Amino acid sequence: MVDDSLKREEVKIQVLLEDIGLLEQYVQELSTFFPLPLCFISPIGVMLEVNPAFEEAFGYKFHELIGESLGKIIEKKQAEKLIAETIKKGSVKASEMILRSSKGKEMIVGTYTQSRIDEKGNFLGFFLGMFDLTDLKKATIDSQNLAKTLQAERQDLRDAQKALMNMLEDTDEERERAEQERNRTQLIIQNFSDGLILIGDRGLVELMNPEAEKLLAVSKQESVGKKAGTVFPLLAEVLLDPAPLFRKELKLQSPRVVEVTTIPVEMEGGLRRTLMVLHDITREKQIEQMKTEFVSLAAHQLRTPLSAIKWTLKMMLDKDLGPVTKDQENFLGKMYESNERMISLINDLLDITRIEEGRYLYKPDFERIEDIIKSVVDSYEEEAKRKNISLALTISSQSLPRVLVDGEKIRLVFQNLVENALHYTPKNGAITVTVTLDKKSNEIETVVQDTGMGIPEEYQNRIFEKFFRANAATRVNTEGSGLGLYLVKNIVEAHEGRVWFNSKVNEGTAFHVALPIKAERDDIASNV
Amino acid sequence: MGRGKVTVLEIMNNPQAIKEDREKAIAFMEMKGDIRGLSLIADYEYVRHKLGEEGVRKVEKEMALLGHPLPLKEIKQMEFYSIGYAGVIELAIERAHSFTMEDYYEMGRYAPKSSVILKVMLKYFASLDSAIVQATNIWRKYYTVGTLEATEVNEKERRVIFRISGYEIAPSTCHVIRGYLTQVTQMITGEQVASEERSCTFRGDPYHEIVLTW
Repeated sequence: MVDDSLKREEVKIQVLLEDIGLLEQYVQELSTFFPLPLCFISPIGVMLEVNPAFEEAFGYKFHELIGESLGKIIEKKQAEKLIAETIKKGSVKASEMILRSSKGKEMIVGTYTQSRIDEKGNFLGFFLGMFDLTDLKKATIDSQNLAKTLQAERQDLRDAQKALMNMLEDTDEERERAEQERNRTQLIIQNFSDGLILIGDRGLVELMNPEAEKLLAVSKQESVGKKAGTVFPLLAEVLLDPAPLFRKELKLQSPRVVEVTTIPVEMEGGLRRTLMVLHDITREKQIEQMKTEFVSLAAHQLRTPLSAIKWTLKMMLDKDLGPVTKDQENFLGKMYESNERMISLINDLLDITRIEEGRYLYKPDFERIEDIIKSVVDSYEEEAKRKNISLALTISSQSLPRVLVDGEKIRLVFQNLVENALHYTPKNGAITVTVTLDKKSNEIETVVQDTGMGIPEEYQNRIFEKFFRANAATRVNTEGSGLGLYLVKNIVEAHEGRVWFNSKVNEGTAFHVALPIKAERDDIASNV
Repeated sequence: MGRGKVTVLEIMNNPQAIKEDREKAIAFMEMKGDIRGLSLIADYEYVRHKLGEEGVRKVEKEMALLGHPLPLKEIKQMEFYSIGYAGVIELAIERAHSFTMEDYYEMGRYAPKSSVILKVMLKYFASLDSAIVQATNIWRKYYTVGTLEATEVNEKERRVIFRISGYEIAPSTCHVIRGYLTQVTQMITGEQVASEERSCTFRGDPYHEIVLTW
């Protein structure tokens, strides 16, 4: 009986143990699967139990928390306050506090507590539920910050928009000014009386105005963007010259004549361009031509009656027409000299017209220049004596080569120079003519040096101009026409020679003429 | 539970050591008294915590090798087992992982954290006196042999002295119990607790005496 009773008790105990085991398992599962962080705290604030959700939420392992004070994870004062409030009120709801995670990160949590009281009303501790509010708080703060940032950015945008509008207004004004400036420049270029062409550094035409189109008979559309040398064959001569040009005369299609000036210009970015200015001188050239023709015609027309007068006077002076009194002879003599001067002037004018028409040199040949000069000097020997002026000729002892010249015209050069020296050298003065060979420059240089009145400095740059006579010269020699030195210069340059002078007032003047030496086999026609 | 199978090869590798340990195991198993399953589970759980599943498997294997297999999953928390298993499992742990005395102390500290019995008794932790009284009652919930009593509870001087009599398994077990009592006291006081085994039956004393201060 006792054994049976013991057996029954053992069975009951076994059943109870199984029930306890199941109950423990149930509680364990409930705690394990409860999704919210939950913790049981002892009355003195020691953590006695945490569920897996608590471990996961705050990164602790349960063994790191169990037996530890609540102060390990929240600030001690807050923990004490929480316990006190829970004891006092039985529960706390949604109290916010800062929790330190296992990695030391501060997290904002919402806490809920519920006290445990035994049947006698003793406080046995409390359950603590915690919710991580970090993300929520962060989202709130972020949204607040975002709102502030957005507001600030909106303000920035408004400011930027305002600044942009101001800039746009400024830019518009600037653009308008630039536009006006451009239009003005365009207007000037379009209406400029000279032709303007802008050529880029690769020789491409970049711009040309209507006058240039007219002068070159080429449209802008046909030229811009193309090689200047290709579209302007008439300008080939000047386009090949890299040096800047100033008023170079150029014949285009007859009768068009222009003066070409090229100006190198450097634009922004260091790009080099060439501005070409075409100044139309066709009308000036035509007027000049008409003047030359008129002078030629007038001179020819005058020379015939003057010749008749000359020969009539000569006959009267030679008494071929009967006897004349002494007084009549004097008058007739003066008339004859005046007529001679008139004929000489007309001859000079005719020479000039021939020079300007380019048909002056018509008898070039190789001649000994020293012979021509000697002949000229000899012809003035008598006059020099009469004026009591010494006239000397010095010819280089070296053998001088013959030079290609129009003998008659070269004679005229030296006649003019010696005659001028005689006119402007006072009594007891001296004139020396020196002929030398300059091997270095391959020229024969002749110098006509006098001890005359000299040329004042202010007139020196005009001395070779047509009809120019210095004031002092007109007082000393009233017969001069002002054409002599003009002829000298034109004749020497027609021989591709050079003429220049050195002069000092009251000391004298030295005129230099240098003529090039050419091999006698050179083609005469091509040089003259 | 039947005896575990031990391979001839294993025995041949270290026949003398195996032989000695198996004899020790037999001696443990011949001890009178029972122990709650949750105490054995707590030992396994600490091994898992420290060394992972592989660590647990090695201990289970050693248990088998010692001739008393007791896999973790087969242990029921509330069930009573021969108290000899407390010695055999610590012997197996020592064989598998060469635990030091400090390791056994930590193993003891770890046990209350997952103790269902302790959690049932939590409601008594409101004051030190009542908690200590309940703590002594815990002993009989774990073991059917020996006694635990608090010979001194001095809240003012922050000291408690526990005495354990009639319980003599192995020196390692002393460290496990010292760790356990340290952790329980810490949970009651909420303070960091230091401990010392002032008397020990393995040192010739008539009982075990553990002093806890905080």
